[in-house]
Amino acid sequence: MKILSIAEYTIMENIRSKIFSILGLFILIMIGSSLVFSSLSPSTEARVITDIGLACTEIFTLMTGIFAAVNLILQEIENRTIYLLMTRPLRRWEYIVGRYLGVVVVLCFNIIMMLSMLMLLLKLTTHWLVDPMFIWSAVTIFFKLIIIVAVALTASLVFTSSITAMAFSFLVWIIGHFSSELKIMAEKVSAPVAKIMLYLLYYMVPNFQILNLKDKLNIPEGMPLDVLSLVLTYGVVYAAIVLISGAMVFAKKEF
Amino acid sequence: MKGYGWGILSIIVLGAVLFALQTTIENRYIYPFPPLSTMKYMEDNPYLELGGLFFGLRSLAADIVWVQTLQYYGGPAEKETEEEHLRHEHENIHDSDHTAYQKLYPLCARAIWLDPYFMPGYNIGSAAIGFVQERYDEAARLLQEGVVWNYNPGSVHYWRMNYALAALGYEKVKDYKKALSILEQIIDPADSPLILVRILANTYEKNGDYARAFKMWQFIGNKFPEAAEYAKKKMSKLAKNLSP
Repeated sequence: MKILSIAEYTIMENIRSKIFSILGLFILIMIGSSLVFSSLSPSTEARVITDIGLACTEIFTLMTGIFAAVNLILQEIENRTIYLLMTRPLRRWEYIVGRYLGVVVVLCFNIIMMLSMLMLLLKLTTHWLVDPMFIWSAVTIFFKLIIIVAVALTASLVFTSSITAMAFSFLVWIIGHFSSELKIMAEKVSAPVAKIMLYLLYYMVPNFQILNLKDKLNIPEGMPLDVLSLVLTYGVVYAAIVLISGAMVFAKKEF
Repeated sequence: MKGYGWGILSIIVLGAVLFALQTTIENRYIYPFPPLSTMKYMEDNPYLELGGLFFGLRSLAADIVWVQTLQYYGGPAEKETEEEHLRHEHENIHDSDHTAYQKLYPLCARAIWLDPYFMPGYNIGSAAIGFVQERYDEAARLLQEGVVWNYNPGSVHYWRMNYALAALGYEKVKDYKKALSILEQIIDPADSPLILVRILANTYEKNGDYARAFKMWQFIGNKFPEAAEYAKKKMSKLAKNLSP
């Protein structure tokens, strides 16, 4: 119950901070760029609109997620409102989990809204039919975000500087997408130390490439459902590990 | 969570689960894209390729390169400089001298490197390079790559690319009758982009079948307003051959 109360408080806080105004920007950019690009390439209109829409959904929610997660606790520390919360019968890990869930719910709502707008745009401009892979690709965007929000939240506790924490989260995002290449490099490199380092990095950074279903929409075989369920489990387990680490850091913090 | 003990234990257990999950996924699902080391033709703006790779936006980057390709092919036909010619020759990417639209193959190759499942890159790209620009080997290379990446004997796309390869071969040796017998099977004028229907019309003409070429240009004029003017010119030229 305490976790849910903290989550609810986080959601309300995000609404008050006008985080949803990013939806307006999303609509403008998505519709504008989709129409321009699809008119330049009429034979691939539906594909272009889908790609731009999903990319915008991911980028906008990524920015919103990282910004919200990094500032959640740092602002409370800066404003000293955290002292008030710490005097309550609330365990520190409950506070972290509640804050995290609040951001995740806000992002989930954002994704649903953006996806609905994208589907409406596709329906109005092309003879598009709902493709299950399209829905799954949106689900995997959400799972990528639950990882990066956990990373951003933990980074904000470790670095205690919002800029550093944001930069670190973006770096993790980039390396995470490069993970398949990391493995190829690790396999090819002959120096044992470099090999170990690359493999270590490969297993430590989140593998966003396996969660990147939006790039695989055109592959006829798609991704088998059993693999997809493993991939989604991977996302949850990774986020849980990072969140536990964050809770451990927060538990030792002195206010 | 009392102290660090439970936390560390949870991380170890979940870490093992994560490792097991990742290795199982790797065993069951092969990364379906060409690795970075195979990237070619970076002279223009490799940041699209790198951006696509680093931000997980390969498909969108392929779309942008494809739009660039269409813009380039829709623009004036330039000829490559001596320096570009030497470099392309060194990279073995063209088989005729200093012809127009030399960047067409590199651009198509970039789009399909980013997304090897992008069919217009193979179909429209090879049609423009092979049937229009008459650089058959480049077009064949593009299609061969498509056949390798999209190997699926049960797929229409796969057979269409194989048929297109055969048609290219016949076109190269100027056996237009056989080329047509294949092109008619893979190009449905009602459902194909302009460039493919034009290729069909031109091949009818090359084969001396002026009546069908005339009909096809008539169809093009009606279906594609942007080509109506050109279709009229072609029809008046063909009408001279048709008249007794």
